[in-house]
Amino acid sequence: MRLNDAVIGGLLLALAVAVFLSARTLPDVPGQRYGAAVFPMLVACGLGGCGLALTLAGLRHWEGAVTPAPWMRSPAAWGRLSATLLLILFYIAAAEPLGFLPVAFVVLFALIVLLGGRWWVAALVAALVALVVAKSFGSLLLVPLPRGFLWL
Amino acid sequence: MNAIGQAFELVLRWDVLSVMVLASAFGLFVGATPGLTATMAIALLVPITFFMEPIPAIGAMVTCSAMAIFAGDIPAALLRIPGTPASAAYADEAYAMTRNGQAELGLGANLFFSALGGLFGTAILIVAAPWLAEAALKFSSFEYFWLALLGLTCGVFIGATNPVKGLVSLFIGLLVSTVGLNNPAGVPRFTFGDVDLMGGIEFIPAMIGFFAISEVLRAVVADIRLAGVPQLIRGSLFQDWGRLFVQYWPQQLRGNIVGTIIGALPGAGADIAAWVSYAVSKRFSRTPEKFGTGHVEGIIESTSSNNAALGGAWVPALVFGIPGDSITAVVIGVLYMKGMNPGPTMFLNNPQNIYAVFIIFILANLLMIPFGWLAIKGAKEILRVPRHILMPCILIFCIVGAFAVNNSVFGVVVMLAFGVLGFVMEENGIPVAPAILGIVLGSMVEENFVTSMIKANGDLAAFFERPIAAGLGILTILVWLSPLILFLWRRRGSAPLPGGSSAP
Repeated sequence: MRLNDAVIGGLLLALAVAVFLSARTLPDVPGQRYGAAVFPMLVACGLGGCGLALTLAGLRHWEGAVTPAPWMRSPAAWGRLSATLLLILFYIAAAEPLGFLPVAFVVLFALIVLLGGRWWVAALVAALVALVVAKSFGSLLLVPLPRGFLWL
Repeated sequence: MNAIGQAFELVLRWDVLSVMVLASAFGLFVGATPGLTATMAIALLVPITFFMEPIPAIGAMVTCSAMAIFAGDIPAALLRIPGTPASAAYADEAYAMTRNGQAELGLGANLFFSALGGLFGTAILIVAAPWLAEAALKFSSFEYFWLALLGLTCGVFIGATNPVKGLVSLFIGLLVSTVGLNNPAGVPRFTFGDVDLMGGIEFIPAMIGFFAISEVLRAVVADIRLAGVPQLIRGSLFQDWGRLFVQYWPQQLRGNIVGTIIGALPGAGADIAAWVSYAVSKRFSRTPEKFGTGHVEGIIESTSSNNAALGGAWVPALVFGIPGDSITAVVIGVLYMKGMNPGPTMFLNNPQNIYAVFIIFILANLLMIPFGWLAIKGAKEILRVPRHILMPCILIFCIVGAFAVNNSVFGVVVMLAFGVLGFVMEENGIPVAPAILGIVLGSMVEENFVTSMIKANGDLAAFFERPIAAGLGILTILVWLSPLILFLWRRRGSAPLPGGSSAP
C-alpha cells in the first residue's frame, strides 16, 4: 500500500499539533524553567515540519490518495493479513482465561492452514511447537505462562 | 588478578561457550532463511537473553549476529535470494558464480573473508574503544547531547533514499520514548491514564513488533514460496583461500576499513556497508566490466565489509552508549536492563567486562569457519524448511518473548501495535531503523538536553562553549545542512554528479 505523501503528511501534522498542545500543559522541574514539556514540544515541531514537507511534496505529485501495492488487489492477501491480526488479538484476549497451550495451538494451527499447509501437518506441528515453547519458557526459563482454567 | 585474566575466566566457561554454540546454530539458520534478517534473529533472541547473566547474553548476541550476517550469503549464492539485507548487494554476482559452476569458490570466499572482516572489525574495536573512552570521560551533558544528536542525525541521513521519511521515523521513535513517568519532572506523560503506559513503552516488545511481526505480516500478504531447489555443495571450500588472499588483499583490506567505519557511524550497519563496498570495488577495479558476470572481486570486498561493520558498530555503542546499527541498538537496550550501562565509566570500573566482549568477538569469528562450513554443506536442508510452517512458529515465539519481558499481556499488545506500525511504515517507504534509534536514544537526548538547558539557564550559546561540544555541534549542524550544500553545489557545477550507489 502506498498512501500519497500528502496523506501521510496531513496525518503527521495532526499528530504533531495534538502532541504540542497536550505537551504544553506538562509541568516543569520544580524551581526550574524547563521540565517535561520542552522535549515533546520540540519533537512535535520536528514532526510537524516533516509533515508539512511531505504534504507539499505529495501535492506536487498527486496521483490519488492511495496507490495500491500488488498484494492489495488480492482479496486472499487481505484475508490472510486480517486473519493473522485477529489471531494475535485472539491470543491477547483468550490466553488468560483459556491458558497458553490451547490458545497457542489454535493460533499455530489456524495460521499454518491459512498459509497453505495441510491440516494434519498443521495439527502435528502446532501441538509439538506449543508444547516445546510451553516447556522451554515455562519450565526452563520460569516464565509464568497463562495456565487457564484447565491448568494445562 | 588482572582484568584480562578475569575476562578469560568470564568467557571460558561451559555455559557461556555452549550458549555461543547454540546462538551460532540459531544465527546461521535465521541468516540463511530468506526473509529473516540478522536484526530479527537478535530480536527473537532477546527474550531468552533476558534470563541470562550479562556475559552469556552478550556472547549469544555477538555470535548470533556474526553468523547471521555470513549465512545471508548462502541463499544469495544458491537461490539468488539474499538471506539478510546485508547480502543483497552481491546476490546477483554470487548467483552468477554458482551458475558458472563456481559455487564452492564463491561460498568459500564468503566464509573466509566474512571471518577475516569480522576479526578486522574486532581489532579496530579493541584499539579504538579504550582510546575513545578515555576522551569520553571528560564529557559533560553538552557533549553527550551533541553526540546523541549526531548519532540520530547520521541514522537518518546515511543510506536513506528519502531523508524526510527517515526523519519522520526518528521523530516517531523519539515521541515513543517520551511516554511514561521517566522524564525530568517525573510526571505521567502521554499515558492517557493507563497504568501500563506509566512505565513507558517497553523497548523489547516494540522492537519485536518492528523487526519480527512486521516481517511476518509481510510474508503473510506476499505468500511467496521459495523458488527453485538449491544444489548440493560437493567440492572443497578451502582450496582457493590462499590464492584469493594473495590476489585480492587490497580489496579485502579496503572492504574491512570501509565496513568498520560505516558500522561505527550511528544508524548505518552491515547492509549499507556491503552496498558501499560493492560500489567502491567496482569503481576502483581494473576489470569493472567483469562485475555482474560472476566475478569474485566485488564479493570479497563487500562480504568483508558487512562483517567488519558488526565490530565497528560496537565502538560507539560501548564507549558512548550510542548504537552503530540496529543490532547494537538492541544490544544497548539489553545492557541497560542488565545494569551494565554502556559508557566510558564501564572501561574504568569493569574493564574485565569490556575485555570479555573482545574475547567473545574473536571467538565468534573463529567459530564461524567450522560452523559456516557445516551450514554451507547443510544448506539444502536449511533452505527446505517451508515458510508456511516457519512463520507461524516465529509468531508464537514473538508472542511469548513479548510476554516474558514483564510477564504481562500488555507486552503482546505493544508488540502487535508496533508490528502493524512497522508494517505500514515500510509499505510507505518509511524506514523503521531510525525509529528504534529514537526509542533507544530518546531519554538520553532529553535528559542531557534538559540538564544542559538548566545548567546554561536557557542560553543556547552554552552548547558551543566547551571545545569538544562546539566541534560536535558544528559537525552535527553541517550534516543537517549537507543536503542544502549538495543542492547548491550541483546547481553551481551544473554538471550532473556521478550517480551514487543505489540505497538498499
